[in-house]
Amino acid sequence: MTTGELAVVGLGLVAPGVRGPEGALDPAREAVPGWFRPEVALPSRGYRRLPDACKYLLAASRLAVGDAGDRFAKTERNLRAAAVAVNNTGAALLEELDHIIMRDGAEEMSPSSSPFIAMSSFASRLSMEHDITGFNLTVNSPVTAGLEALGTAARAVAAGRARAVLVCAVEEALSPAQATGPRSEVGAAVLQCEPVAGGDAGYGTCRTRGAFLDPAAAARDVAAVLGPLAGADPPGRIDAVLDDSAVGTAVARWLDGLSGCDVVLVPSPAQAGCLVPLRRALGLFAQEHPAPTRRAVLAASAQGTLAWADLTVTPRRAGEPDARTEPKARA
Amino acid sequence: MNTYDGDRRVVITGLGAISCLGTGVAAHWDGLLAGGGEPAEVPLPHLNMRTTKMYLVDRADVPAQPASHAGVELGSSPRLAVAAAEQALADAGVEEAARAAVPVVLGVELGNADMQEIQRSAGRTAWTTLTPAAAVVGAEIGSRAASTSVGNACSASGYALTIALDMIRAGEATTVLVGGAEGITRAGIGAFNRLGAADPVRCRPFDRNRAGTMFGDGSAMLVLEAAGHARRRGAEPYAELAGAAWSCDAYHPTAPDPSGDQIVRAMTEALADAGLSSSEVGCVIPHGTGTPLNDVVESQALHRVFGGRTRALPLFSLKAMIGHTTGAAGAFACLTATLMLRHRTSPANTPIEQDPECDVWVPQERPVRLEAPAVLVNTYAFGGNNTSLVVRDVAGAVSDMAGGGEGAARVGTGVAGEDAEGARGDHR
Repeated sequence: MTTGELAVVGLGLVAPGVRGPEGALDPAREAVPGWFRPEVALPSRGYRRLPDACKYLLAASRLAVGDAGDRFAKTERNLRAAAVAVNNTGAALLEELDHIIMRDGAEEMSPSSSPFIAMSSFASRLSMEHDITGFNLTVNSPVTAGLEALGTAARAVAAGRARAVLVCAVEEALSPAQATGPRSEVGAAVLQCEPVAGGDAGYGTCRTRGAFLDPAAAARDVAAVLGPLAGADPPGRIDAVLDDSAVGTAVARWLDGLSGCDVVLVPSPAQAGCLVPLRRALGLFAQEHPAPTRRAVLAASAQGTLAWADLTVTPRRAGEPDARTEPKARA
Repeated sequence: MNTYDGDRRVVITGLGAISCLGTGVAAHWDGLLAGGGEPAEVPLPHLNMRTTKMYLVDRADVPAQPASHAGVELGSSPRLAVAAAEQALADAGVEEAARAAVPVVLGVELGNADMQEIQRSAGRTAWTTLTPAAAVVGAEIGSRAASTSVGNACSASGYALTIALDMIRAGEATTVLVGGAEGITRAGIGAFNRLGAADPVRCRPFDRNRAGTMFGDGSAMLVLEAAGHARRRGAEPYAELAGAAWSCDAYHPTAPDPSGDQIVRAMTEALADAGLSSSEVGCVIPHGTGTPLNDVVESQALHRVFGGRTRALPLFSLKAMIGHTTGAAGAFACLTATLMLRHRTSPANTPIEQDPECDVWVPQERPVRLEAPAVLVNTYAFGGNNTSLVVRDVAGAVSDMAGGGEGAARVGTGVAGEDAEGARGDHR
């Protein structure tokens, strides 16, 4: 069962080497020093002491909200919400704080950094930034949390808990001591989402669903689990974010046998976070098409969590009026 | 497919718990009646801080398995979660064959932190996921349905319960396993020490000398089920999860909004969602952490919701008995509310020297009989992330469930006539 449908009306992306949503499908790049300039992205005061991941999230949220016009600010504050996915976001900071405790004692911890032992603290500033009083939900399933945030937001909107949701994923690089590979995800992706019933599809619509594939029985169970997840009529293109774990391998093999679909394999490192799958969805929404186009993003973690997002991208071509600026969209 | 046939109700059909009070729901209830647990030294190395105690699960009761999942070595949180999950599913009578369709929704904040901290103390630094618990539970119970892990700190399982409720109401599932689990954590205690929010004595909400909170570890799990589904399979509901609401202060990274406006809204909307008035609430399990400002703001907010009745409305201060179980706190509170309704009583609270600024009733001398059919549960967290939930007696709903066959009838006759004393120890 899907969680309900959302319309995507604004996109914001902050990532190394990427200028905007149109570059979201490019391979993730290494974060070089100075790639993110907070003085440009967040020029006003009050952000200096925040961890960088908070700044990525705030900057991406500003881009998404700005992209959608003033719709978010016009939504009643108790119906504004955020659903934020995190995995490795606080890993390096948590390690640093724990080392301070071990070496010098808890009294030597920075009081401004201490609240970030709670990973949801990375999302909290978002509420103050956009005066969000509906809810601010944090999800943290390995790898799939970004798509899970989409699904959880859709369900909450359907239940009347919000009318405008910033669906986000944010990650920060692991420390050199924590990283076992050359690259870890950095940046933030934000999709401003609203009920489809409003009549404005914006960039398009999405439906999300989840499943679980036991890593110990992945090869045996993959067809029984993925068949219902993909549905009877999967779209022509599936972007699959997979690692080389037992689960990732089994899913890749199952996708190999899927006829009529173009599978775009997005290789995922062993310590992947939750940013890439949501970034992928954002990038697919940002593509231009002459007609409504169906796409899907599939993400799987080594731990067995699976998430699938069905996307229907609104027709849009360079040089043509943006669907989001049609009169209906402004209403 | 709408799986609940127009019946919006979601019932609680299974419970599982492991905490400082022991293993199992009977141990939990008996422990509450006996006055709760006592803090103990946290068994982690390098605890260089003033307050080093928690309300701990007896280490002999922490399951040794599963020791790992998909290559990740597991700390106590996922193992406690699996133990409580098995209890809850067995309690609900959910057979092995039916478990594949059961989604898992878990509130977990610092989940696998103890394993990471032990490894760090030993010089092992590679990062592994902090939050494997929901996936571990999914694998251990044989689920093939969606796995959701919620990380809203101290209100995580309050959010998880609401998500599970919405999943059933939306027809996504007929049965959901939901709860929370937390282990021990050096970084968590250290941060609360640094923020001046760790009480060195005990967790003593609403006490004039409270000096912060004190953590507890453990796991609480509930099986939520569409009322019609439970009825058709003859399951006996404990209670109904009748309403839930969320709000956010949008005020401060850690401190509550002193106005209390958003926590009042969460309570009010949860009651509206349940279709109940405030007069139908017989007890409140507050968030009540023992942090100075939280308890005052929550007390004032309760007055705004319950008006002149507040001073006669019993509060059950759960954290004083099992500590602040952070991501699992909402699940423990809902489980406790469910048992209170079943037993028609609120256990006597841990004795405190009450803060006059917290003008609420925390009955301490003896258990109090519930005089109304619902219990309100509050959970709050860093960032002003609030949830309120309403757990309602199913005995009053028996006539509504007419036509539901013998199972429904058993619910009514099995619960409605019990008094507090007679029901003690009866946990199925």
